[in-house]
Amino acid sequence: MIAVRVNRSWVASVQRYSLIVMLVIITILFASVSKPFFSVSNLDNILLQSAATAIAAVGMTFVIIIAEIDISIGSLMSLAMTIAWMIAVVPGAKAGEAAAVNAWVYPVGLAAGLVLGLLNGLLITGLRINALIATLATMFAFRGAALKMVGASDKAFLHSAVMYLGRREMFGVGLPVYVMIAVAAIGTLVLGRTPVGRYLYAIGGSQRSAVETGLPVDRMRLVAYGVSGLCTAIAGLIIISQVGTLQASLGTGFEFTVITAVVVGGTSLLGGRGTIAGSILGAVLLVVINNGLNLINASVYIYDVVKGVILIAAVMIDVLLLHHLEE
Amino acid sequence: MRQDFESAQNARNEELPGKPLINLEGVGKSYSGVWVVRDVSFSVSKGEVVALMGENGAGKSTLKNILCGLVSPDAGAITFGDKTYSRLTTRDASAFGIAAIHQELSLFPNLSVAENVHMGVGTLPARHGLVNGTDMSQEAVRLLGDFFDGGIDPHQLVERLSLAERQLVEVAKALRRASTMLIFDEPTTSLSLPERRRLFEVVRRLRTRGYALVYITHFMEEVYELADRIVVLRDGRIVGTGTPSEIDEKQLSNLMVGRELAGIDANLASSSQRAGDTAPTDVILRVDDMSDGRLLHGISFELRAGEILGLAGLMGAGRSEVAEAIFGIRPASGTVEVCGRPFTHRTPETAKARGVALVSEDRRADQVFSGRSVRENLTSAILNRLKARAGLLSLNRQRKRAADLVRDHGIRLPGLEAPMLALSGGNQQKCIIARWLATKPVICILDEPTKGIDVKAKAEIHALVGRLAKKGLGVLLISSDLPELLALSYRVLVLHKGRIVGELGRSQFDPNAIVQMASTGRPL
Repeated sequence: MIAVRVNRSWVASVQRYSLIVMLVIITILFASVSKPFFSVSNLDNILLQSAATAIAAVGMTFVIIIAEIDISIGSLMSLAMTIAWMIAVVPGAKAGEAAAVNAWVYPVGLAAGLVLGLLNGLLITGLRINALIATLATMFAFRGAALKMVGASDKAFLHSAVMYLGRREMFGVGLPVYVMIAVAAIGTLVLGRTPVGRYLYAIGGSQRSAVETGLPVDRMRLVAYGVSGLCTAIAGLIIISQVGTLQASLGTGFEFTVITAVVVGGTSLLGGRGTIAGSILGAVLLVVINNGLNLINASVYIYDVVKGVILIAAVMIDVLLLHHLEE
Repeated sequence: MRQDFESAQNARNEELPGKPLINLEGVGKSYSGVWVVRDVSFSVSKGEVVALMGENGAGKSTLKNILCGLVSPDAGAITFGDKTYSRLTTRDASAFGIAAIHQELSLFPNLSVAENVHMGVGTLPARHGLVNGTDMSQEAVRLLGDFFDGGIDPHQLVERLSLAERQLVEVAKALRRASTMLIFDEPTTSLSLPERRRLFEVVRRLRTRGYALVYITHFMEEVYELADRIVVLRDGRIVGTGTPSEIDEKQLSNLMVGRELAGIDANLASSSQRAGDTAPTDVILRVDDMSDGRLLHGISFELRAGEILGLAGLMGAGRSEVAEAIFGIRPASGTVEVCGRPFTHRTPETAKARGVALVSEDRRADQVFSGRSVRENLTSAILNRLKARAGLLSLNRQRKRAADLVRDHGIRLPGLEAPMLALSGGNQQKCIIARWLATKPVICILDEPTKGIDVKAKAEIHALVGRLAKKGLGVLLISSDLPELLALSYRVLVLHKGRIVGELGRSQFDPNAIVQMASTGRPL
């Protein structure tokens, strides 16, 4: 009996730290082949590049914890940023010139993200549509709406004193990194310590039990999609201010990067299990791999192959450890 | 807030002694035109235990769900205190302090014991909006300690607990949420005898504290031990009410079933007696030195054609595992011979081909395709025999075959195309048995064939088992219902921790001896 207990706690800690171990091994691997990899500026760079994915991954963790999914976030980001740009743009710029936006871009962008996220939630809870199908539908619809507003080939150049979020630094560290830390901290507190967070884990663990316990299941599902939309909007604001342009193709494929980060981070697609810290580490790991492969001059096409392998490896570790636990 | 509400309730109750806490008047519920509960009126007062009895499908669970606010009735009124409602919501139920111990358990396997106990709106202990882990653990320990001697770590995840421990957590969770009324839905199914006693103690203590209690159970002895009043349901209607002194066991069983049942078991037992005394016939199943390295150790026995061999033992003794190993679900060493030929590389598919059928214990999880039609469920094991031209399935032949099976086994159903979940537990079980018998097996392994099904279906399955043996099948019967096992079996093997510790012929049948062997592993 005692032996079993020791065994279990060992397994549990491997499970908990497997991601960190993986990250450390990969970092050492890259550092040994590429000198500049382990420099301060490159590590700062890695965090800066992870920020947008990591922030959206926080929102996605809320959704996947309740055993659902949101594949609309790439399009949602595009539409929310387009709406923000249209409202905040200062008129007068000629076509092709950089247009200035005022500070309204931030609140409008966040509000648009939240509203679009809640719209996803309403479709799923109100009309009882399967989450994958509902967000697949909004993935098309949001993208289409953004294209209609901006125009397929047009690029809006953003030039403004207020669009500095992605470019400024504080104590030598980019602002997006601080935003990422703040969002992660709030997300961890909400999931870990508030009743709402406990309800979300409970719903993911057993929706039937949640209904029988009288938990506000549908309201909590709305919360999850709202948080996902809001986090995606924060990520979108960081990206457009980093890039300096707004295109309707913004965020294409973003949803899959984010879902990969969350799953690599140990959140179970079956719901009820997962942490914000894991999702953040997952996002960082993906960037580390990209960055490292880039520094050792690997072929660009290899990146996605490695990403796929990492995803399968992460899920395999989970499955094997869970199997071990059940034995 | 709730405290105020409760004391106000108490004050009112003192003014009007005997005034019911909750009163149902003409309550009804129908699903697609079929009334599952109809015109039900009854009340529960504070400090009273009302036992809700009835066969499966009588409407007990629907009534429970109406009281918890999970199902809204289509007719009638519910009066709680002074107010009358046409329906309760889950929020009403929790505001009134009504909670239920659900038969299927309403737990969250991924959360800790303490979190499970406290889960609910307004029941998670929080300070400044943040959940307080220390308060939560302490309160959970107190609630569990109320009726259970420690042993459950509040930080443990519920998925690591045994079924019995989970049931205790479910009780603690309901206690945490209930302040006026508690509904027990088959709360003792996975509890050991001492744990049952503890639970009865809890029920009595809650009654003294003035809770209104509804107790749903199949076990008659529990009713007579606990109930102040008995309400009997049949086909969604109340067919009898009274105190335990007014209704004796025989009347109660007659009310539930609606006809006389007495004598069936006795007849069966006497026919088994005769069969057990006749000369032995061919061995059709021989198991030699079967082990799986964990739960089975050197199991050897023989099963003869036309014999009902009972497997007795406590929960976890390895009875189901023996069945799984023979059927190829569980890898095991040792040899198995079916009809004199060795049966190696066992898988469920080859087992079926060799004429072995297994009706497993967990019907819902392992055997029923609940969303699919009765026809599909009945014919799913013999589809390869129902092909018409060009290897395509013939719907006509499926229908015909299913209709034959329904008739042969007296299955009651709304229609062949009705989904399986529309059937009562007893009829689902008959469907599963019928499915396997359609494969024309020579060996039939029945694992708890009458668990959780009503008295009438139970008697029918008993008769069926007797008929199978008469037809020359070998039946391996696993049952925790000792009277059932002794009435049907010709011979009983007793298992203890994965070993066969005793074999008893019919003349040696003695319940006490079997219980002692099963629990100590030593013969008398």
